[in-house]
Amino acid sequence: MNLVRRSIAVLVLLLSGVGGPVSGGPETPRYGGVYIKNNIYSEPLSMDPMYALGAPTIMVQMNIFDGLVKVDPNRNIVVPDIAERWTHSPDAKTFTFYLRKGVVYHDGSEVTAADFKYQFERVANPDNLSPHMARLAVVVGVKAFQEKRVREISGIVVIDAHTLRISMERSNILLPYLLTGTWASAVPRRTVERLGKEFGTRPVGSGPFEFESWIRGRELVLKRNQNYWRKDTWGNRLPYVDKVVFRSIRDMAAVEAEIETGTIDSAWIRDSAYLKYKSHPRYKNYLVEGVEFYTHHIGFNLDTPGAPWRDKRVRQAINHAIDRKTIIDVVRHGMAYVATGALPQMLDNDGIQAGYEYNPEKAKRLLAESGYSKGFSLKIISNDNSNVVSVVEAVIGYLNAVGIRAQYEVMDSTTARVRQQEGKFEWYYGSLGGEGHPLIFLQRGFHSRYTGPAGNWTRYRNPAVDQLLDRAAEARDASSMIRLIRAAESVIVDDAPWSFISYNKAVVVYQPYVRGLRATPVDLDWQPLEEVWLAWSIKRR
Amino acid sequence: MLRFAVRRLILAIPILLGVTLITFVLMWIIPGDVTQVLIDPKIGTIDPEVARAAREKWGLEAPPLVRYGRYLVNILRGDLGYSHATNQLVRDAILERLPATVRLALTSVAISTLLGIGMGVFTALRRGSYFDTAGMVVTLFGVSVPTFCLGLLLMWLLAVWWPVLPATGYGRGELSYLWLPAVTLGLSYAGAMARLTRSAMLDVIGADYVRTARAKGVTRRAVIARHALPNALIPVLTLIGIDIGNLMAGAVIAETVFAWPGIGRLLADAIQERNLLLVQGCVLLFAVVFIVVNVVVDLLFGLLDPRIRYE
Repeated sequence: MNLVRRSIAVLVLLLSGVGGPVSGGPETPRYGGVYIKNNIYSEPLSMDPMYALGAPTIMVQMNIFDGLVKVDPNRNIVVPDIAERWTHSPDAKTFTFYLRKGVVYHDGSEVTAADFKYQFERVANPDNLSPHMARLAVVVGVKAFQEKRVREISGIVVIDAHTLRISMERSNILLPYLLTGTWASAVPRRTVERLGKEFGTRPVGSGPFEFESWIRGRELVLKRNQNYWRKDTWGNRLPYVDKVVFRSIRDMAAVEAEIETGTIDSAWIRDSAYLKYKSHPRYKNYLVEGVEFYTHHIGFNLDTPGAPWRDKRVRQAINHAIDRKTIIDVVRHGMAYVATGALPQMLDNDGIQAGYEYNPEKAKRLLAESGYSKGFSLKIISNDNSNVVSVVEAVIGYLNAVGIRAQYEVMDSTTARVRQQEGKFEWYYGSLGGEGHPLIFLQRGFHSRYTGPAGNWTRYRNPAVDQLLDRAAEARDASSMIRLIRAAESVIVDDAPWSFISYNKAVVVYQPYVRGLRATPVDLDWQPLEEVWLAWSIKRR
Repeated sequence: MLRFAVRRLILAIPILLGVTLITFVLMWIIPGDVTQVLIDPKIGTIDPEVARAAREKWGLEAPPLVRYGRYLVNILRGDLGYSHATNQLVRDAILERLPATVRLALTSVAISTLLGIGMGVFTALRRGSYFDTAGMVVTLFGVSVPTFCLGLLLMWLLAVWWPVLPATGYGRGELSYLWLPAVTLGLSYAGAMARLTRSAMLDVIGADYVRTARAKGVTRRAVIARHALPNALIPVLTLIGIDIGNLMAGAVIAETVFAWPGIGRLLADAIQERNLLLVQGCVLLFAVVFIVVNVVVDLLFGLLDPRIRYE
């Protein structure tokens, strides 16, 4: 029976043609249907937002839970979520969030300010070992709380059921941005305490979808929250689809098979599939493409004693020696953007830097000026991702052309990451990102405070950059902050602790009947699924 | 026979100890520790405060010997530990995946055994014929084509071009989801089994006792079934045992291609995450499976050949 249904489903798909809806006018969203999304990386880890870690987990959690604020995927700015508005003191040390009334959890209880305080204290509590426990370090009283000298965080105050005040040790206009993370979601205290560790497998939130079931390794199912508070621009209550099913198929050829049999509705794809789908007669118009906040680069270990690349001119020469555009066009099949600096275009930043043009003659000249006209030898490490390996091999060819002889060592991704963190490399090829705000990105990558595992893998130390980033962190307004961030990035690009290679282009292929997917910031898999709908759908379950 | 089995199982204890020690040392040697589970692999950074708190809470600062000792003590208490990556007990993580693995392993072995022995006997009895040559070419294909290649080929053939089977997944346990991965693995293993069966059969059918049986007027079919095949099956049985062990230890590639929720993928992820306790748990299970399967195979030898005694 199942086979018959499947065959009919495929037949209906084929007969439905390659185009969109029949009518030519604007479409109105349609309720119903089951949307099946593939998650290519791995299984989600836990549904408890305290453990929001990695795209496979976050992409699910963000549809079960809501926070005080969120990032608007269209405009890439922080917008209200459960907090309908917020204010901050003139010194930007105290923020007050005003919550919507009548927002309820999936179990029917109301979301209150106390729930947020409870969740923030869960996250900060070292016993819970949340990967985000350091996020609230700037909040008054967190240190004493973490050292167990006090039982609550004094800087987080519940004024009343719908008002929350957060005080910080120093000015920080980034606080609302920090709170857009899924870890900062509202959770129902009584349910969390009743379920204990089981909350990670039986989550209750206030988001657009309710948890239905999860069989690890197979599928995770969410169902529509009938009482979700948000409405679309026409006044229709969100979300539209009845159910969302997350599957986990990692092999790209298998993903393609599932897409083409119509058994999954959307999937993130890799370079090889991109080459196929961008000219595919059926799917070429059904791709979402977007820049993700990751910068691929070659990192130079600046702590390597006597290394030629400790000289800035050598690092600049390397940047001039590599033809990024050709590598992206030929090796990556166009599935990346040329990097002109450390930051891709992102929240509050247009990502414009002049960058380094491809100029091998200039590279040779700079090498000669620095005393390395005959080049030098080095070893580069990277993980074993096939895209990465192809790019590094191309890079080595360009380096050879200016006299730099690179040996290449490929290893599994965890070993490569650990070697980067521990500084056991001469050069590495890798990417940094996942933080949607340019200040946090630059702090992680280039502030001396973050040297080592925290993100500054090259061991880059420039007091001028540290100072600019520190001043940006304490700026009282967004424009001053951005000005300081740009100044810091200019210094970084000139210092060239990285050879800036590319910014991520992420691509999702979807079925012709799927509507509402969009290029989301930070990670293309972080889709707000409440706005996804199916123009026509096949009843599959 | 019972004394033999019990003695073999008692001898397994030092083997299991050795397995845990080797796994522990290997996981200790490779770069990175279990704090890697607190890192988003796509981002790759960790706050030092978080890493410090994790090391303290999980006792990673203790000397390796102390940690290994603690692990052994916990195993004796029946506690395999906690998987921090998946926020569940190691025992639960394994038990959750075990049914899918057992199902796939047994079905694949059944397919490879039927096909392998069938083809081995068939070609041996027609040695030098076109059937023999064709059979050997087919088995060579089975032995030499990588599992992922064969799997994808079958997937595109039977799920995309002629959509009669689901391409990937486990569904709700329907048989239709089992066929593609099981046939892929079955075909991969059948090649070697057919070749081994053929050569064993060729040895046996040339033996004196087979010729004597034929001379006494026993029919060809009866000679093969009662005299030749049981003797030829002894090396084949060893191979079946090894195949069961290998498949129970997780067919990582087939599981990845077909999104099959088995132990192979669980272990591969655990190694990547440096999730020592989960790796230890899986390896311990595999060791137990190998030992039990080998004991069973040894016992079956006696049934096939009464000359074999358990002493």
